[in-house]
Amino acid sequence: MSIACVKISHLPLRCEIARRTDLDAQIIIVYHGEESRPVVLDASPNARLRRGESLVRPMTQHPGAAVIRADETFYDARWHEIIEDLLNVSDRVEDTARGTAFVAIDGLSELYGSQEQTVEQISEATAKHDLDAQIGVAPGRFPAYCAAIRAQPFKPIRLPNSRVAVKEFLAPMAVDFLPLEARSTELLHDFALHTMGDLAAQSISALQAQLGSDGIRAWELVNGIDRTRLNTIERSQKIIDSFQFESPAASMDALSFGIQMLLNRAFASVQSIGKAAGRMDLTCEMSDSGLWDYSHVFKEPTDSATLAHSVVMTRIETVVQTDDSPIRSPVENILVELSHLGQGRAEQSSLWREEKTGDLDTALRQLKAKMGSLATKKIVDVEPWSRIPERRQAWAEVTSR
Amino acid sequence: MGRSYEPVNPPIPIQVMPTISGKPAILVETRNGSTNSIPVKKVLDLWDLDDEWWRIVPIHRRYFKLLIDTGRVMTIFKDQSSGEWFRQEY
Repeated sequence: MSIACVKISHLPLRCEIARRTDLDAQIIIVYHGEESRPVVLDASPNARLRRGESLVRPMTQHPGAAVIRADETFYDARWHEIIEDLLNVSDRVEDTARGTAFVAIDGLSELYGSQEQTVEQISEATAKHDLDAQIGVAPGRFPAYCAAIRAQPFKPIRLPNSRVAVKEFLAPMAVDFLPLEARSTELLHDFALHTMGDLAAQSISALQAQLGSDGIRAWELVNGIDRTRLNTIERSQKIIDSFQFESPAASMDALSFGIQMLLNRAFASVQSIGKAAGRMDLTCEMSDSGLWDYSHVFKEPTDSATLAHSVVMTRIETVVQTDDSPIRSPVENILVELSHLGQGRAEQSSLWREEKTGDLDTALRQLKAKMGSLATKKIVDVEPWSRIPERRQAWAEVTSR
Repeated sequence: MGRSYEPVNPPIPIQVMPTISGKPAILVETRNGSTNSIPVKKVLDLWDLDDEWWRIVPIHRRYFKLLIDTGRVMTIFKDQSSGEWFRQEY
């Protein structure tokens, strides 16, 4: 299966640079989180900061830095525009996480002329957003990702449809890029298996003995075998439904009931095709011919009418309290459109670690030489793709190998 | 192996007084022995997290992103199984 990976590193940072051109030459730190405990979301690479790091140290370390509160809605919107453009090239696109997407390109050569021209289409679709997308093409999801992270913007890397070629391409790359548990990666380093080439030279049974299922998966990936299927979104598929009140709804209870009925029906349709909705567009038609539109993009695709109802009612309760409430007369009709239908799961952070902390051992040695035995901890990705926040990263002791 | 791991972003218990409809209305923080009630100004977002259904205790949470009276934005969730509330950045 031929897959193209589109990767935009530092998407929040690039979005800010794109809209605030005066920031280009400075160190920029984008932060999020609570005001009392802000943490780094993204930063200029030369600032050498980690995502999730408290903002306190960077502020003192880089006093001249431009520190910007993250506008995640804006970043999501920019990313969504790119996904929409990729869907114009292929109808099989996986929106893995903000900044990472995979596009199935099998069969598109007939449409665009050749695989090269297909990749050119993808390149053009992303280039117009001016966010320096990196593109990798390979006969599998993992090698496509690895090709993308090694590609320069506007210079896609295309790997031939050959296991041997993929294996050779992956061989010099660090095992840290493999989607394994942190414990497994650490164990590989302990065994002096630092690159994928080192790993590929081992027998599958030896790796399985040491790492269990992770060992088998690692061996297959480094040998160019990746059977992972894309979890594609489908733009064309939409669920549209409406609900007409017998008499116009003038109370919140009646309106809430009507919306609940409508959403129950619409989400039942979503469930019947085994999908979950990523976006909901709702319109209330009022007796004075006025309209109130509300759009909501779910953080995770959902098939829950109850959740959608809570979201809508929370919004309605807010707008009706305003002086110029758009819902000013009884509601006669409600329409809902559920779109961005996917598989009901999404990943909110990077699939694999992006950068290696190469200088860490040196810094650690220097600190130890200066200060003696030092209790140091580092943040390690455990399951960075996990939907459960506490599973994503953990504190681990820093050890020199 | 044998190294210990502790999560970077664990759920932190918090006292919450919800509305009848189950949305958080007041957060109760205890600091230095004194209790402080913080009204919720606005629910900015909410979403469900259901996972690990195969475990004895599956994960079944409803997250709320809140604007609280002090102007801070805070994310909390209700453990739908136990009814307990926790603070946690998402």
